[in-house]
Amino acid sequence: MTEMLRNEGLKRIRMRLFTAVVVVFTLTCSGSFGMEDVVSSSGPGLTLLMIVVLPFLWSVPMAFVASEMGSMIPEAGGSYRWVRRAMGEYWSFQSGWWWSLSVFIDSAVYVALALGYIQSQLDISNLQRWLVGVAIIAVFTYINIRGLEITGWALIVIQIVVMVPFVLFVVLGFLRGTGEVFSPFMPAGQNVVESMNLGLAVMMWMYAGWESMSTLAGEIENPQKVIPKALMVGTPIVIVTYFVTVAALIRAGGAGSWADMVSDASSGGTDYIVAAKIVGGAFLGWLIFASAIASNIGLYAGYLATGARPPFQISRDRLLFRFFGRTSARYGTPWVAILIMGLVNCALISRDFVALIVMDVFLLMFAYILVFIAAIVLRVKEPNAPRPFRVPLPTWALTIWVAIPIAIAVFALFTNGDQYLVGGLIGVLSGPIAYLVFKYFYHGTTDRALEGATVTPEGELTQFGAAIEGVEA
Amino acid sequence: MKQGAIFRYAAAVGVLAGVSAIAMGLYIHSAQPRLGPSWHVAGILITSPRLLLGLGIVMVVGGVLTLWNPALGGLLVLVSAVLGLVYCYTHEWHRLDLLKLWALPVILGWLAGILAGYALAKSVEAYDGPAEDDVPASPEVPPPAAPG
Repeated sequence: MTEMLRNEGLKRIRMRLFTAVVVVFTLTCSGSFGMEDVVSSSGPGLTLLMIVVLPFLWSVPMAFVASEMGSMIPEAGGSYRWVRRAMGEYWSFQSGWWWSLSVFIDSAVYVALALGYIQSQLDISNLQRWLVGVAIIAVFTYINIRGLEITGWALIVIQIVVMVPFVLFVVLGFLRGTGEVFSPFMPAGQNVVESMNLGLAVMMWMYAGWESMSTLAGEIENPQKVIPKALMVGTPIVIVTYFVTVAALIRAGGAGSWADMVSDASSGGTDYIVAAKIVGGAFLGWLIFASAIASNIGLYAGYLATGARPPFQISRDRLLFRFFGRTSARYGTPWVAILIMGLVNCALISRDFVALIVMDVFLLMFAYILVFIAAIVLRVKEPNAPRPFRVPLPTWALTIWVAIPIAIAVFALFTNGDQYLVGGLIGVLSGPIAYLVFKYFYHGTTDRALEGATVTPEGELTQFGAAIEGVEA
Repeated sequence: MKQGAIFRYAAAVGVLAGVSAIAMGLYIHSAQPRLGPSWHVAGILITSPRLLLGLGIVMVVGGVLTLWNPALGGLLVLVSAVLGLVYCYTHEWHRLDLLKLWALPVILGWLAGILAGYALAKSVEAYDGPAEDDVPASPEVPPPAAPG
């Protein structure tokens, strides 16, 4: 095997804007399952208010920052590459490690959630459950190895299965439901902070994932244009989807049902499936059930695609096992990284991995903080670098804007209890440990000729390694 | 800041992490020697004070070692901090009390690890072709130079 660098060996496909928007929608929304917990803990009115306001403080800054940096540095690995350019090898490794570890765990959670739905309705043993999980993972690992074109098609089909039942549910929910959509504003006897506590944590999770698609930039034609556009189109769609579906849920559940809403109502309470049965009978209940399974499978397929690219790039920089950096000569995809992620997922779904899930919040929040800092550092270090998409704010205003999600991320670290705090710290400390180990064995490398040579001053993508006039190699 | 200076800071902070763990171990040994159930590893009873003292010593050694071998020294300090956190994690009913004891050693250990890693990152080899294990070895071994 000849060693390759950066994006070498990856095959670019033409991705239409519609497909790109579906990918963004899958990674950041994919239905509203999980919002039930927010309604019961924060109250109907406050939940809907948070759905509208939180994005502007939390996810829209990330969507804009991801668009700017994704257009400036449209390379496989996404945020790993951005942080590397802004802050060098050490912090980019931390960013890539934390983000990838988080996605490796997350993706297994989505399969486990899909299996949980299946097991709640069908009488299957644990072995059968695991085998179904392995089958799901095998199918989507194969699809992902085949390339983004077929992955995009798979996500379109999945989102049709997810959203068509939701459209029916929303219509019937508003027509036949009896619940008060905005009332009460929040649970009686609680202040705003108490009401927001759990709801905020869940909703931050629901509104995460805006940076994910940029990891695929090495395999899309004109990623510097397609990905920012998809993010800008996807952002309002996600906000409207959450708002309308949650409002329909509150209405469909009936008067007072908001208080016992729970994301898994198999042992009582109201979730989307129960609410669907109330307004649409058993048929709509089954449709929403299928939607819930498809939603989690879609999230899995999406994160399997995005999660494999940062380890692939870290390996290309000689900071991870060499085999992670291999690409398929036929399909032009990082097949080893995808396959390994699938194998890890197979191992995780067979056991109780609560201890790993508690690490997740810390890993993702620290990775996000580095992305926001990198955006500001690059504005200062490379103010004139070509940015086909630029956040329409001066650097000082952007700094203030991204300080808000950083503050929210730091706040989130301490709101989930001591189990998450200690478990999260263990996860975060794995980053410096991994860096010392891999640096010791593989040393790391950089190709200075390619730094800064990704986008031309006209905003066009250069061929890998192409020299650009006026850009110093 | 130069690489050598950062290594020295890493070493100093690593030693401080160890010293703080030892200090916490001595404090808890006198104040509450049986805080939470102990670990039994290979027939050895590991109580909270013993773990703090033992890992504190390892951290001090790791800190000093950072001056000669930053990767290994940093690893010793960081792994000790993680073991302390794992001990806290597994003691559900005393987790916060134990975390208070481990907070300073963990934060200092983390900082020492960051500094060691950051200093190592200052020397990144420029890409000059495939890695050595990709280049086929030369079939001919050059003869040793003749003496004199």
